[in-house]
Amino acid sequence: MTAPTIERSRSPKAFEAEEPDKPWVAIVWNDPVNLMSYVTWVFQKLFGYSRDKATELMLDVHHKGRAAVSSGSREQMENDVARLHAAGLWATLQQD
Amino acid sequence: MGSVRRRGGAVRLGLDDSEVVLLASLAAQVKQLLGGEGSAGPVDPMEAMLALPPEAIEPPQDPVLARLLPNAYRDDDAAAGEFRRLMDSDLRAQKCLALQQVIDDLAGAGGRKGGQLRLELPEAAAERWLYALTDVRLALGTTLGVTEDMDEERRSAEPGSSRHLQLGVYDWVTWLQDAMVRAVTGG
Repeated sequence: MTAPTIERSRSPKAFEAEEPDKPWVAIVWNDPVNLMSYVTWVFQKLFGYSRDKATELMLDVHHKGRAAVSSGSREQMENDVARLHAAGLWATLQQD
Repeated sequence: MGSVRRRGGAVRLGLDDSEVVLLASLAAQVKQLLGGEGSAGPVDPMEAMLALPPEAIEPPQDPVLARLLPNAYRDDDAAAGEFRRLMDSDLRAQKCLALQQVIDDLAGAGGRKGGQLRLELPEAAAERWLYALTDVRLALGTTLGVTEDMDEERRSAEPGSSRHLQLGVYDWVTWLQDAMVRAVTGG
């Protein structure tokens, strides 16, 4: 493993800083309680998704254990996660 | 046994007296829990926004509260604590408002027909019911440690045991919520 010399001149702090261009995503995790019908309805209501799109995301959560349901700035994703928590879904945000 | 129907933009509920007592009690218990550990006490949402706690907040110890108020960051405790500092009391207040809607509607001036309480919930009220029923189910489901295989849960519970009874309650709230989602979405 090696790294380009130019990056060695950057301070460690610069590496830790957030990359502003990388979008944040809100992720919904599977849980054994929430109903498929309810989760689909929540995705439609909170994000304005069509029934088909909301169903697809719900099935991703159910089968794959998680799905990214929205993306944008960190502040927007914190807001989306707060709304998902209010609806009782298990949601987190992270940089994609 | 209760009934759920869609009528215009509203959801019409018919609930037996025992169902009314049960649901009101469950909603009150979850609301009390949200006002307990880690809560700043009864505050309205606006007040909560204006008086944020100065320090990051730790996740609740209680497993039910931890599920109702999950970490917003999976691998960053500091960011999760800061998120709680900003959002925790508002989230609790929102959940309590939804639960209170259920409590008030069940205690309010619904009509009676055929030995049942009849409620006609406008769409906004029905949506708050869906949120509140979710939190009731999360609380019961977490306490019971349910898995996705509810058939197996029922088979393995001794008939007459308290777990068997609690699973019956959980099943009933599940039925009510699913029927109400279908009524709200017209599905």
